[in-house]
Amino acid sequence: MGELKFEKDFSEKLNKRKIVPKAGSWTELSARLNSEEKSKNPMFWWIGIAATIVGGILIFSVLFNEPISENPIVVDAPSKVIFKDKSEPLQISSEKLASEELKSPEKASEKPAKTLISKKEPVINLEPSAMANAMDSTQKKNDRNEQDPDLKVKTKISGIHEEMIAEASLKGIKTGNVTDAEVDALLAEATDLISRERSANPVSENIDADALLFNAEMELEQSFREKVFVVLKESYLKAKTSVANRNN
Amino acid sequence: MKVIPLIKNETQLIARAIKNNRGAQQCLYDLHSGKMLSVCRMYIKDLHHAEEVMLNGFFKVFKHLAEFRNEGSFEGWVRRIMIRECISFLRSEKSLEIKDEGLDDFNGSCNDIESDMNVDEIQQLIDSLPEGYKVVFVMYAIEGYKHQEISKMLNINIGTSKSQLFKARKMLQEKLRTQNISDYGRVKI
Repeated sequence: MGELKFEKDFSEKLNKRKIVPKAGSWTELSARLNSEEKSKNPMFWWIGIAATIVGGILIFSVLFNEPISENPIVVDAPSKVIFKDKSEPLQISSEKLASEELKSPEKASEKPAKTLISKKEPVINLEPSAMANAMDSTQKKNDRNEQDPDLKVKTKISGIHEEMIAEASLKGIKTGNVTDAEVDALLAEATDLISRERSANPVSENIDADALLFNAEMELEQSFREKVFVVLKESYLKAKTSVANRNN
Repeated sequence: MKVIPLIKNETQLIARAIKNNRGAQQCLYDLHSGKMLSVCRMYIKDLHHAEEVMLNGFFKVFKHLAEFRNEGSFEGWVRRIMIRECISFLRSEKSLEIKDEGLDDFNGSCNDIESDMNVDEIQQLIDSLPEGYKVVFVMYAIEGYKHQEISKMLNINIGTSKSQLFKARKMLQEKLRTQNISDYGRVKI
């Protein structure tokens, strides 16, 4: 279907035509364009603010959910670790002590021997009533130092030594002769006994599970508080900067 | 010689207008608003509504100016936006109802009728057509669209587009004939 004659005429005339729009049409259009641009900027800011709020909520939710899920795990783990940590050095120290005493009986015997030699004369001169007093005083000391494991060990050793000295002195009183070899043998026996006792009972009685749990919880709570404070500070700074930028 | 600097100026203006330069946008508006209002007036009888539609069209032009890729003419691109805007306006007014009508009583077009009418008379003649006929006629005869393009833009069949054009032509020819007869009569007087 071709173009008709009148259509050609219509097309030429209509395509050449120009109708001038009313005055102020451009101002109307520019106002619309301005409002469009202004509406774009607040949208951007609102999106930014909404994103920060959502981010903050997510971080808070993650932080609040963490303790619930981690509690059982965290409480179990440190208790084991702490138990090992505390028990090992104690065992090592006790074992070291025992081994040192066993390995070097000469050294161990030398020291008490020296003390014995130095204390021999006054001890021999002591009466049985004075000896009993001395024993009581050592027992009291033991009771005082029960709380401290190291002190307990030391006092135990010293107590045994004193007992042995007392026995030796009694023997010496009875028989009148106490040889160095007998003293050494008695000391070796005593150290052997102590080492056996320690190996049989590792210092488990001193570890309080509740106290360990409490300590672990306190540590956890501290770290959680720190995290919350850090997050709050960050979000506050972000909000502050965004508000400052908006005002600018 | 004069066309090349004009095109250069227009591309520069477009580049500035993309960056929301109001001066450049106003220049583009002043350059094309007259022609675009004429285009809108071809489809919309009421000049006030036509102007409103033209402003909406320009608003969209400046909003999507970055999408213009200099492949065709800027005027053609703006013109297409205006035509789409006019069609959507007519649809919103529910005045654009195109029905598929047969071609049974149409025996072909008569190409011997000429017109010596001025633009306003032509516009009046076009305004007298029903909306469906008018839109298809203007798109085909004045804007140069093919039936396939018209059918896509108006969501109608190609056959419907053709039938609308035939009916529009028939009506216009009849009106032109009667006008010519009366004109001859006037001349005679």
